[in-house]
Amino acid sequence: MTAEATATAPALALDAPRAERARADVPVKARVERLSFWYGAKQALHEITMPVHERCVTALIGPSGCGKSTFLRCFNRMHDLYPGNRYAGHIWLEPEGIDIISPKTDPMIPRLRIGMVFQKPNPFPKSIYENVAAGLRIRGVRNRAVLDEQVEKSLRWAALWDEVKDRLDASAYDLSGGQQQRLCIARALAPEPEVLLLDEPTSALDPIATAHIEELVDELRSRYTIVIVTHNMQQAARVSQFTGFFHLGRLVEFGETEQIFTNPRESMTQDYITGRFG
Amino acid sequence: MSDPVIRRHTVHAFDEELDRLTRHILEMGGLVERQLQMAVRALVERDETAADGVIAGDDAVDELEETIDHEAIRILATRQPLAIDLRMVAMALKISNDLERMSDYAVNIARRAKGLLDQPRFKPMITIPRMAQVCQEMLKQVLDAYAARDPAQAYAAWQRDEEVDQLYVSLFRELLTYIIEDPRKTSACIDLMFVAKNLERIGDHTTNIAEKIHYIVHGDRINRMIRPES
Ligand SMILES: Nc1ncnc2c1ncn2[C@@H]1O[C@H](COP(=O)(O)OP(=O)(O)OP(=O)(O)O)[C@@H](O)[C@H]1O
Ligand SMILES: [Mg+2]
Repeated sequence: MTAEATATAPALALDAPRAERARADVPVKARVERLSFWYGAKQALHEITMPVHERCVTALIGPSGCGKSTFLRCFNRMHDLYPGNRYAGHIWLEPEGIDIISPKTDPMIPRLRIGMVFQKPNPFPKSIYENVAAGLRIRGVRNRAVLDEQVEKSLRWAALWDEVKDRLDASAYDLSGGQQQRLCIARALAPEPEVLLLDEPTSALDPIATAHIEELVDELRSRYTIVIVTHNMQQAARVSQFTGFFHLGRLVEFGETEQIFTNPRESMTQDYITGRFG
Repeated sequence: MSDPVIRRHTVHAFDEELDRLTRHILEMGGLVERQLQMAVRALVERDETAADGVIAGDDAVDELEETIDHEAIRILATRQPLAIDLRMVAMALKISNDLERMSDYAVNIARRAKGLLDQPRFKPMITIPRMAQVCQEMLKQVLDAYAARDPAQAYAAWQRDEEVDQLYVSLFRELLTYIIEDPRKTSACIDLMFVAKNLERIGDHTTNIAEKIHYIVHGDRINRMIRPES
């Protein structure tokens, strides 16, 4: 970062512990506060505190098994589906300040407002069209013209339209792995969620499809809040404005992406992003 | 980043590439040290062979700069370095550029030295070698600082540029006085002014390198406010 940039950078909330610094001038869409999570007796997340800034892309990086996917799944209460899983702490969803993980909160609220693309493509055993329309149907959309329009728009966003426009009624399982991943992206985008969680969305994609998705993410951030998990450091550096580095279920460092990738504060972050880990 | 300990990469070939880049910068720095030393000798000892040696020696410096460019670009393309690695590679490109300019200034000094061969000696021949000596010491210190990734040493070199600047200003005044006293010395004095200007520029490029060493290690700039630009 240049001296000029340092001088003009708005004040950080310096009283916060350094792993948790938020930009005071950028609105927050979700506030993660001392979030811990257990798979039965195994604690997978330890007191994570970080902001998810509104209309920004937040990248989560960290070695395999450090808890990135576990963290994302808390946002739409996916963990509720299995007994024995336990949360502690809060995820406040703004503007209302709903605590997503509170047992009193209906899990359907975050699920309707927060879209997710999983690490492994998981299309429904239905047609391509119905996969994309599913989220809209749940929300009560019946008008065929509206559905058609939104399905096409979402498939275009996900850079899949040209490949499937002539076979929308074919089974989603007939698609290749990379196509299935883009289908899942289209499915998550169709209801236009407030927050979009992407768990390694491009790990199975070729460079062109990856470029399309990155461009999409950049475009979407003018309207939505996006959290993306990626093992590609350059991708994290390219698409995000904020980055969190996780290690062994803990948030080691959170900050502006440029700072994290040019001059991280923690030596553990530096070792990880420069390939000096283990 | 407060912790200066740099661990080795998981991919060892990457370490080797970075080491090679560092070695080439140091090799280039060594050549520039020699260029400067010979240029000063050409001037002070009226050694024409030394002057020709400097002029001929510039090609080797240029070639090394090209090698460094090539290696750095290759690392950027194949390793996509980040954080300290990125700063190291990006600064290697800029430092080699500084060194290349310094060699050009040494060549300018050698050319002026040749022009001065048939002029009588006179007093500024004391201040100029003094200026050159400070420049040489600074360059040595900055190259040592680069090899050791030692920002404190780089900073010490950086601070000495003020000495060079002061010598330059006083020499300039002195030469003007000579011209006024004895206009026959005008031509020689102008040559010496250019020599001093070139030394002053060499000092500036040395401080640039010092600033880059600080940036490689700390990721920020030496606070320019400590020493206002003269
Ligand atoms: N269903 C589960 N039951 C028990 N432990 C689990 C479960 N899912 C994940 N874990 C454990 O929790 C930890 C965090 O896993 P998680 O999948 O969140 O990691 P990750 O950071 O997403 O890794 P990757 O980069 O490989 O996707 C790991 O130790 C993992 O073994
Ligand atoms: Mg994962």
